[in-house]
Amino acid sequence: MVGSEAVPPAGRALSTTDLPLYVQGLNVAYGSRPVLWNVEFSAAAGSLTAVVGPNGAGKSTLLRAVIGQVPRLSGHVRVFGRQFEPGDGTVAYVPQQGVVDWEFPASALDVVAMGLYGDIGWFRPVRRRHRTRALEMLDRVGLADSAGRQIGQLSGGQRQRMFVARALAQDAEIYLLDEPLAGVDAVTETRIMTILRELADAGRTIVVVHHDLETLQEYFTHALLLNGRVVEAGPVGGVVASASLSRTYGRFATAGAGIGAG
Amino acid sequence: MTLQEFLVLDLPAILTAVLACVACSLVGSFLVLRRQALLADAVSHVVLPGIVGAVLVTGALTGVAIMAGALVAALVAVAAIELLRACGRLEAGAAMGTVFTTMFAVGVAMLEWSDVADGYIDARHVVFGSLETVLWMSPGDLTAVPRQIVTLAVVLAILAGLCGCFHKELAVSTFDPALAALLGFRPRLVAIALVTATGAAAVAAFEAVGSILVIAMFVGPPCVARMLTDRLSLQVWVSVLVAAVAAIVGYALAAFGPGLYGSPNSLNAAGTIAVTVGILQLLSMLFAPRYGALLATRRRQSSQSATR
Repeated sequence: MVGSEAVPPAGRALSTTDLPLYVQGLNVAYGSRPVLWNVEFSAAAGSLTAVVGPNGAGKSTLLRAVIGQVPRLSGHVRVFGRQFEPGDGTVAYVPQQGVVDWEFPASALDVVAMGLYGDIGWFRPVRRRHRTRALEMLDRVGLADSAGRQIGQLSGGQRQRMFVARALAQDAEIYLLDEPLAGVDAVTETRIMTILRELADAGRTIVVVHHDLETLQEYFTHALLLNGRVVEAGPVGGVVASASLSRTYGRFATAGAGIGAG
Repeated sequence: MTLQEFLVLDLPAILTAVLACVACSLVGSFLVLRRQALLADAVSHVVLPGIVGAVLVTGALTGVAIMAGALVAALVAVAAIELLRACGRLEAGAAMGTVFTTMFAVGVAMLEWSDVADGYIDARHVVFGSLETVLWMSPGDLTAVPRQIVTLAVVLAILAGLCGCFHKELAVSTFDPALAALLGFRPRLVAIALVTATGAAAVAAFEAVGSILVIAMFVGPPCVARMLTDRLSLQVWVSVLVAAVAAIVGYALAAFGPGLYGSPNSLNAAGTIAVTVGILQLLSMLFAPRYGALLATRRRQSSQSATR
């Protein structure tokens, strides 16, 4: 992975608004029910941010609102200081497994190649070099052997790795992942986190909806504690140490105890 | 049956049926994958008052006129559905159901009351199609090719061209609209284009198979293909092939089937085509190599006994 061209020139002082991802005054409602209130957060290049919070806290909605999949009542999403436009190639998004049709007639390779469609552009067909590139991405997540399998035949962990490979193929600046570790085995979890760390080390910005408080400090550099509004945000150590974590999770959380997924 | 008879009566009807079924099944594959098969039903009903209106206004049944009429009807329908959702507080499915049955009824009423439409279309055509009226009066004369065949060929060529050019865009916006949007592919635009294509196919096929049975052409062949393949491009090709086979077999059953039993009559071809589609669907559900009910059971048994 090479460094990005979109990173502001070195030596220039970075204001918050020039960060890779800056979300400001975000309000989202489903019908008359508000889900996110005035959410503001930013993520720096090379950071790995976990979005944590109880069920119904709006974690998935936050990611979907950022990419414009959920209508925003108000608020801005800025990418490197510019208004984010879907289609500008800066953001890759890994959805929750439940949202796609696993009976769709496509192989793992076909789905990963979809990550390259933006580069290929309108009208133009997928060529051999694109398929080779998609296969490289599958290899990176350890799934090259299953490239030709129909996606419904993949296990839960394999499906998640396929989506990560697709995000890699997009070669974006910002990666938003909605529970990529939900329901995966330990080997897959390690593999996905290694890849995400490599991306962060290469200066990319990673935001992950995460459930397991036990691994929070081990995996992430930053955390965003969400419960409708931003309760706490910043370096992961500070968020874990703060009293708000256990308060937000209510009586289910006790100091030092993890909250399992689901 | 003489060759002359075949060229005048049967060949144009077969061509019309094949073109209509292929056009519908081409669009149908994407509708089925998007779980929007009902859309084809809705669109084919909604366009009826448009088609009848076009005939009333222009006094003739021409391809361009009925396409224009259908477009107007579709726009009215979209506006009515949005109005019902906003003012009537109905959910999308209920709003659609209300609008498309009402507009269909209006279309039938227009047919019944107006005598201008007589000789062009009547209520029977809506139900049965009018394959039997497609005649090539002077076989060999290409300028006398029936209008229905020309319309269908043009529509099919456009739809096939679009599916070829936008294969990638259709695939990604169908499988994962969120990704399509992030990649700049405007999934809503693709969705609108698909509805428009559905309407064009439904209107072009209207004369061949009517408004009711056309749903079988949209949904049946793609469902057969779903049982047979795991590749999107193959899905589209198999679906088109099944549609063509069903059209030919269905027509042959209608035209020549009763003769085998000594009956001088023939059956309605649109009906037998729809039945053929249904039989093919049943066969594919039973005998498809991977997903068919019978072979899948046997595969499960053998894979249980085999060590992995």
